[in-house]
Amino acid sequence: MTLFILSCEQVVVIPLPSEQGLLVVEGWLTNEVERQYVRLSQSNSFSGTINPIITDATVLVQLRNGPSQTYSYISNGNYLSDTPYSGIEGEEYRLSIVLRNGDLIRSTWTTIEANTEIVLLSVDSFEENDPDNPGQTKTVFFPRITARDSANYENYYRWMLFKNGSQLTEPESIILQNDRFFDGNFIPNLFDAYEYDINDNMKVELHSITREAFDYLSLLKSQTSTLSAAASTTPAIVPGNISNISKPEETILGFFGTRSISADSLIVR
Amino acid sequence: MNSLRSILFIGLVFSFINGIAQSALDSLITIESGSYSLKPTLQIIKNAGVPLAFSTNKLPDAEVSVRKGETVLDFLERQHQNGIVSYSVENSQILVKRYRPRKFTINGRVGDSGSNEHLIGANIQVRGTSLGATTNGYGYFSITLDEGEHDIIISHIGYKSFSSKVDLKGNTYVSYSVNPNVVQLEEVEISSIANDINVVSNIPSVSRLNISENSILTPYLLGEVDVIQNSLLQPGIKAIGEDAGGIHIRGGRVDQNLILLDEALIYNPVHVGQVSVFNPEAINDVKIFKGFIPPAYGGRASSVIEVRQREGNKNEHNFSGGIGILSARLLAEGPIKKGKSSFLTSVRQSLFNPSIESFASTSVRRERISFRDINIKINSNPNERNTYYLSGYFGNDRNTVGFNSIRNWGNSTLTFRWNHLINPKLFSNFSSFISEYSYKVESEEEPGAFVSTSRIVDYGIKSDFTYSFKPTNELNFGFSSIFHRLRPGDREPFDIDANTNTIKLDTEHGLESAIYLSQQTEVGSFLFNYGFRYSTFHNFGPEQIFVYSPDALPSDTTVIDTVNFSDGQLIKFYDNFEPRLAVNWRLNETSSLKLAYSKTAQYLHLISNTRSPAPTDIWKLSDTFIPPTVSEQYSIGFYKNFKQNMWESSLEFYYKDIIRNIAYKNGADLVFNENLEREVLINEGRAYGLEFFLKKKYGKLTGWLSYTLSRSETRFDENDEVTYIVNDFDKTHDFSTTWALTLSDRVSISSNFVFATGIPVTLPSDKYTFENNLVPHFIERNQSRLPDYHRLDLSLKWKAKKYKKDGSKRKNEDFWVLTLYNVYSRQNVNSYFFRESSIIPSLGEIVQYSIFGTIVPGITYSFKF
Repeated sequence: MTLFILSCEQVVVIPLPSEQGLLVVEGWLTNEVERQYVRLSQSNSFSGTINPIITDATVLVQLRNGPSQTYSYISNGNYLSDTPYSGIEGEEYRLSIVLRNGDLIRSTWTTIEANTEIVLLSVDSFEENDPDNPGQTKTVFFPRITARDSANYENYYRWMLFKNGSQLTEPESIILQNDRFFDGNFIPNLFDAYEYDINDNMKVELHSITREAFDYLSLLKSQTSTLSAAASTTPAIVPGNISNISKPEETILGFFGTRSISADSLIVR
Repeated sequence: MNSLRSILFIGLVFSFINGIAQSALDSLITIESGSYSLKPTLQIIKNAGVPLAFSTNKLPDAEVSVRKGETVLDFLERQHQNGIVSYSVENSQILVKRYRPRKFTINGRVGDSGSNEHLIGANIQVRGTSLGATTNGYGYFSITLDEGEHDIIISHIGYKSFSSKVDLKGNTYVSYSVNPNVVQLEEVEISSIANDINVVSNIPSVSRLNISENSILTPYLLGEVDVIQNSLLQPGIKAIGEDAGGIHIRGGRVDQNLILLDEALIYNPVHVGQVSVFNPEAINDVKIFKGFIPPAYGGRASSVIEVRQREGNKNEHNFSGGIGILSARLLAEGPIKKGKSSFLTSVRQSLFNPSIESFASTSVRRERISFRDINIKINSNPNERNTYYLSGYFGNDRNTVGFNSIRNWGNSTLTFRWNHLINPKLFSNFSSFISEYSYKVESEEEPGAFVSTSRIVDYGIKSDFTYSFKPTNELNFGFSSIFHRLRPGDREPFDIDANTNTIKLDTEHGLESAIYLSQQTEVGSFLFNYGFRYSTFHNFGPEQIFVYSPDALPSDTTVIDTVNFSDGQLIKFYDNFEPRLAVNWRLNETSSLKLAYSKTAQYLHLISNTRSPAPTDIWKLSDTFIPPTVSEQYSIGFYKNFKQNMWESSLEFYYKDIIRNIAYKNGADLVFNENLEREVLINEGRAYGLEFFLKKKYGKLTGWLSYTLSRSETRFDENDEVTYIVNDFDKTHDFSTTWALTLSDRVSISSNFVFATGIPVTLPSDKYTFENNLVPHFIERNQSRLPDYHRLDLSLKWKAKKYKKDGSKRKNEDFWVLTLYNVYSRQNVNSYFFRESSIIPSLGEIVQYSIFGTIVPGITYSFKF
């Protein structure tokens, strides 16, 4: 905020601590019938160019007191379930991975939360000076969304916005919300920082996630977006819900979560 | 009632007995006039029925003259004047003793000759002796001396020293006026009367900023003079970066400084843009106690920053003001009743919007920032025994973000003070104050519109007494009590159409009280300043408290019970005995060795988990889960003055233990959190360092050099292994030097140069991707450092002509200040951030960020008429 007009940025090369090469797990189980995914990769030197992936692990997702789904490697570190399936609301799931060296990697049990419906999606707009045409103004369109929170229950949400099929990641790719201010009420949102033009396809998704997933994503977000000036958080490890059962002292990064998705879309007119 | 009667009775008996002796003094001597030996003469008077008491072997063998018909009193008084005997009336007897001079107390005030404002910290010395006194925080002093003639020297930085003769025949009240030092063109020969407070003061490690026109407060960024930025040029005082609001004193955290403006607490000393809330025009004196904290102060673990507002000119009306790129200011002052009472009022308003977005963005969503300060002070000095003050400060920041989201915050204070001389040796101060810090966020964005507010209000009373029973012996005592009322957060719908829920966090109530007693005394070449402060803290209901399972950390799954406390019910009590000690060993006339120990307790904590505090951070009282922070500091310093006190220097070492620092878990959500205890981490810290300071006080060239070698760390216990990790604000070397050179009576130049080790930084060892976000992975905290910081600033002060063409003096004064900040355009690194390369995906990139990448010129214009 302070006199940023005089500030400057410069890419530098400085010596860094030596790389750890840790296993990174990324996976979400949704309530929609589809081939669910898990991605396995490895961390590497911060200034390294390659992004190592794990292609030869055995991956399965277990339903507590129920059957398991096996996943197979496809490409770019991604494993997909062999058959399409969906997580069932209220049930608990766990990810298990066996690495080539025999190590057993497991997530904690995680529950599929109840779905929260999007009540209304509409388009709103404002006028602003057009940076490309000085002296002219242009109309910026953005989504106005209302969802209905269920009362007396702590709900944790994540929003995803798509424009013509691609996720909008600017200014933020992780948009989180909880119901602390809205418990049992309508949840109103104006995403005025996400700009759409006329005739764009505007799609929004509301993910109901667990508290653990919410906490993981908030910390991940603070570690990826605000590490700079004095008002920022201090750098820290982002602890997930995955551990190495064979070698408990080893750090495993990443998270296996569940999400219940509601979606709505429209064409901006 | 009975005891009161007995006291009255005993008192009456005493006055009766003394009455007998008193009347005996008036009886006439019947001896013939002539010269006699002392002892037989006294015996004759005694035999005549006068109740004289004396021991023969302790009286001198002197010849005395007797005049027939004189009274016993006249006779004894004459012998006292001749230096032969002293006498006193005790019980029913007249005691005759070996001659000792009588002692009387001079007390009074030192004021500015023009405005008659009280001067704080002015030095009063008795020529030819080591006796002296300093005016206290209210401008008063008291010194007890032998009867007879004395040459009193009054000196104060920025003022001409002068001496005044006093023939002391009884307790005396004096009011000294000193003249401001006009610019000294020649290096003047300073006689022994120069101020040697650096060596003689028994309060070590004090940084003093003298805010007078003639002092060398150097202009900072954009030509603004700023109290906080100037304090950073003193040893032991640091800020984490150019964009950081708080200051760290001797390794302490930003919430560990007690900031007082005319005795009222200031919770956030900076505006947006890191401009301090203290308008230099309205400020008289800033004192920073870094090491020894006098027992009269307490409540924070690290330091005391005491700021006093100016009182206003008691003799004439003045208007002064100025305009710069950042702000405009206007001050009016003058007498209400000439010589007796005065007022001062000032306003400062930001002009420049210190945000890039107002320039760089054409968007209607840009940020708009403004701030304002209003200071008022009224004082009345109806007679020499009483002074009354009313002072107030009202600050406000306003920050508009997005369409309709407005953030407002600010401190407000109101202080009433009464200084009363109970008797010549007993000075008293009674103060009461209200302080408030609040913020309000209004978001009108439909339909989730809300208003959220947070407020801390303090109601305080305080009394201080100074009893000077000998020139070298002073007793200070008093008490204070502050009732804190915190509304941590209320969030309400903006209007009836908004469908957010109302959330009101429980109000917190606390009573912070203390009594203190200290003595300042001299034994040989040792000056002692020692005493204690006993502080207590009561946390009161109403509040609902969770009870957690005793073997688990507080979390939502470990709650085993809830307890409801009713209105006014005691929830938690803490107390601390805080001993304080400072010893000044006068090695010789120009040097001393000072040792100090201070223990302080802190019952209020800033809730913040960012590197530097934000205006919307809230404060939290100590409670069932959050204990008070306590610090203990030891220091030793060598102080030396050179060249008749023109140069002063000090070298000091300190070690500080900080017990129960309050910190927060990574990623903790501290906003509207009803159960902060679940996010708290309590750790221990330590800080130590070496500080060197060299200052030239007089002459054409004035300035100083300051160097600090220090370390500030937090202790971590992991698997029985103890490690200390440096704090985010640690700077190993911190050097600054500031000089001002007077070129003519109209032109002066000044410069600052600062050098500091870069602050610690945590560097990533690895990176990984999660949902296409590049995430840096850190293993060890603060293991590396940013590059060293250095910067040179220059400024030129150019005064308009003082005389008109016809040779008469102009009534108004005005001057321009031109500044160049970061003269050699160094791109000092403020921080690194880590991001994905925009050219090569999945490549991690380290970006160094500099707040000022270039030289920054500035200009201000100031006037007075």
